[in-house]
Amino acid sequence: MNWKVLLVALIVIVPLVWVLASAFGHDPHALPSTLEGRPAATFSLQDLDGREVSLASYEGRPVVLNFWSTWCVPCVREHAVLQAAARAEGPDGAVFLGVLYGDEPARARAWVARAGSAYPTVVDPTGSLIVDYGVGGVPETFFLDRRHVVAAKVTGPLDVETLARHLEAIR
Amino acid sequence: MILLLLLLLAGPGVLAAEAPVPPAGPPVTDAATVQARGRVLADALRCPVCQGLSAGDSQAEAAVAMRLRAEQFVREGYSDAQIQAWFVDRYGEWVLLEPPRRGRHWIVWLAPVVLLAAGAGLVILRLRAAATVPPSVEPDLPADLAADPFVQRVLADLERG
Amino acid sequence: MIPTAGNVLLFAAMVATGVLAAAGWVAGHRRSPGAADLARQAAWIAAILLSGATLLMEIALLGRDFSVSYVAQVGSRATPVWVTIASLWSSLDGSLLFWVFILGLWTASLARATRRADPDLAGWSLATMAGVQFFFLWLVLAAGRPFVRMDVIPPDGPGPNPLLQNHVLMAIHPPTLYIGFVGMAAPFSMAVASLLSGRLEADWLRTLRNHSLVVWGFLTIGILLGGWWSYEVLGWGGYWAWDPVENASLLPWLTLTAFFHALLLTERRGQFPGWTLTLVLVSFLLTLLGTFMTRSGVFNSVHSFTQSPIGPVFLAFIALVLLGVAFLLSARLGALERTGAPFTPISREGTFLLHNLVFLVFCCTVLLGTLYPLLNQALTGDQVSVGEPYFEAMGRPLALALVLLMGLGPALPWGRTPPGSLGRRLALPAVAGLLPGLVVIVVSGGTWLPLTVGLAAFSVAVSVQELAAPVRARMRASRRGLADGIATLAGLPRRVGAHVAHVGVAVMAVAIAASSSLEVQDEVTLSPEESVSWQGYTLTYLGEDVAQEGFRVAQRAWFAVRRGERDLGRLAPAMHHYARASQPIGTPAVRSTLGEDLYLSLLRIDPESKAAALRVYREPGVAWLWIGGALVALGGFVAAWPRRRRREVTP
Repeated sequence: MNWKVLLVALIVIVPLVWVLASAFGHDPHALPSTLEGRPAATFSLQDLDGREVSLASYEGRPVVLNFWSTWCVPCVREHAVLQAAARAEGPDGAVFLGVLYGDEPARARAWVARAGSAYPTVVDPTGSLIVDYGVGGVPETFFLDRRHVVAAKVTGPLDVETLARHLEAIR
Repeated sequence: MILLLLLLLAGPGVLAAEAPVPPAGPPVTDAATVQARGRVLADALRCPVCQGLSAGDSQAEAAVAMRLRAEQFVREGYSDAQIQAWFVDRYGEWVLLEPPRRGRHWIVWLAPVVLLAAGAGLVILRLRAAATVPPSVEPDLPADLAADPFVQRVLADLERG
Repeated sequence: MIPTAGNVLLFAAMVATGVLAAAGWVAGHRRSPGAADLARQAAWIAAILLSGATLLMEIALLGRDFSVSYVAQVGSRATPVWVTIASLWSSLDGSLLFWVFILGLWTASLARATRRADPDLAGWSLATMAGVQFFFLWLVLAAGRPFVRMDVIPPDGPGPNPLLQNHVLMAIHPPTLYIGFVGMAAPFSMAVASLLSGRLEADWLRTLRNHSLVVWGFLTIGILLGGWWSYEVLGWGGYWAWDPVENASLLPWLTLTAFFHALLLTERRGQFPGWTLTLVLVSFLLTLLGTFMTRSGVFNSVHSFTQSPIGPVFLAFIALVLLGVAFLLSARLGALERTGAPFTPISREGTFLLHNLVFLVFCCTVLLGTLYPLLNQALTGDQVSVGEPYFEAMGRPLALALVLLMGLGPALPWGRTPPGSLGRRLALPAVAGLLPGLVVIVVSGGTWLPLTVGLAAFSVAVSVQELAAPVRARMRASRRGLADGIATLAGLPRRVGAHVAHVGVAVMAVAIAASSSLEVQDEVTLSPEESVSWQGYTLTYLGEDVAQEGFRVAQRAWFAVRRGERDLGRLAPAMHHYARASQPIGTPAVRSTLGEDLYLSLLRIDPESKAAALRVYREPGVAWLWIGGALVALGGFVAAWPRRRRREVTP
């Protein structure tokens, strides 16, 4: 038995297997956001119908900012969840806003006309908000508290419980 | 580099979304410079949606937006280090396509060099060991060629002079 | 019907593999020829059963039999025949079946190759192969389960991932790579047999080498086709993104290439047998690691399958094989110790040692870069990326060192270089390298490109010199002219193969350096009828059209391409819309010539103005990458070509 060879092999093998094993349970696509706890970028953009929407005008109210597009299947799936929650909010409750991501406004307008929406979706022609919020793909949802500080970011479609939990936290 | 570190140490809050630190230089107006510097910057940033591609290579929305933002900052006079620091602050360290040369990340940069040096040491030891036995002069041809009857004849001819 | 039959066939194959393992073990342990024969028969039976199961799955896919779970998962009535056939490897469960089918074929090939070998070598190698096959079969039956009968038979299926339907290469690239990846199990098994029996006969080494060469040839083609697919489909103008899965395919290629050179030392000079076999074992382990990277869902890659439950099981298997290999090496390396022929530093052996070192460092660097994000996350929980800039910075000097050694090695003799002969051997290649290098410095400047061109030309010159030597010797001896001289090369397949591969590598090196340092790209937006002059080309946007291509809708932007007065035809980069896909997939249009490629990638067509925004790339020398790669693979196959047996019967 050549113990030197065995030792060298084990020095390579053990860390290698440990590193690979440690990766289970991490989603390689989930990227952390550095924005939580920091003031959200303000914006003033036109919505799908050409009306001006500015974040500053919702001062003092919590905001749910949802990046979506019509070609994104999970966005379409979470649509109903978001709509129900938005309709349940009172006049001083949380504000829901959509941000169109990588899509034609005309297509989105047609889609909203068919599916209905309880809140406006703003169009971001230069993709500026994508960088300001560090958005990767869609859907991504940002929860801003009353001072418009980012409280949480959720990547992927929202379900009723997750949405309710985050909404509670920003009230 | 030092500037980058300072910016990182300054931590959250200093670099708010729309009000970064004052630009290091005067605004840049030359379109070609803006494009060239923007491209180099984007090539070093990872596109968040795509897999392994840089923000410069990818055509995903997020990558295009990052490219535009980099160009905008160049135009406003920010230095490359400032812009890179802004992106790191916004996205996190993973946005850099190569690990920064500091702290534990030195492992990635130095380990290959160390391995090469250690391996070279081993090779030198082996070469010494292999050369201690006096080398016998072998035919200057690989075995299969040396076995070729024609080649053997040629070699025999050569030896006869 | 099909679900049951499929499961029966797979189960029977598992039994046959069990018999194979047991018989192989007995043959290895007791040196029993009868047991070895039984093992070979079992290998063939298992291969036939696995072929049957795979054929059955293809029948189900082509017949749109949605009662089979895998067909319900990836089948679709809308897909054309080639997509339907390729669906077999488009998703995890099917690809496992395909994997084990190819493994079965390789086991049969090993059975054939060992029919003249001694029973202990044949037995140990077949038993090892059976172990690997058993594990994969178990994965198919326990985790993949492609043949489950659907309780509710759906009327139609979703079809495979649209990215995989976008190019015919998807029907060729994965199988080729699989043949190479899976095939690594055969050289591995032979190396294990060598270690267990302590035997290293020339015949056995030749079998090992030829199997490895074929594996390596397929691996080369597979990697290359992957790059080509990336270039033709993904639309970013590149062919290699240093993506984890791409790296995973490169790793065993590197160690296997190092192995062939180490094997020369072992075969010809009796040097470093343990190291040579270790390289084979490591190559196989790296293919396992690559498989894990693709299938565990742990890595972020275009090529990986989604998160799957087989990850931990697979990792356990890898850990087991790793430990097995470690114990085997430490227990049996001593049995292989031989005293080799001595040599001095300036000799072929010396350069081979250096060359093996550089290959190893290259491999470790790529592995480290690929795993570092995981390591960093495990240590600190933070995310970090290691991408193209890192791999290029580290890889370039190493790759250039390899090109240099590739020329230096064959130019030096075995054993030692007689004093004074160094100049004679290297003078011509050095001039051949310096001249083009200087020309490139003058023409394009830069550091890497002239250096690459110079070193590549140097190594090509050495290859030409090495191939010319036997031709000249023969011509002088036979006095029958050039044709007769060249005919001698037919008797030297290893030499010819090696140098063809070397020339291929040199060509690839230049193509990579040229395409990465001379690439030009731009973004342009054109309204219909508008023209733009770019890099000597004139592009005229003719307008868009929408074509229904059966399983997809293609929205194409048509461009007339001219260069000066010359009409170069039309290019139509497109957006492909798939019925069930989330986002349209851009497909570039490429006009490829030997000098340079014009590459158009459509970004979007404005729905109102119909203006087309596109990215244009001028990519010099990319065609030579494919040509060089083809030469490399060809070299491998030529070297593996069975040689005429010399005078088997003595008169």
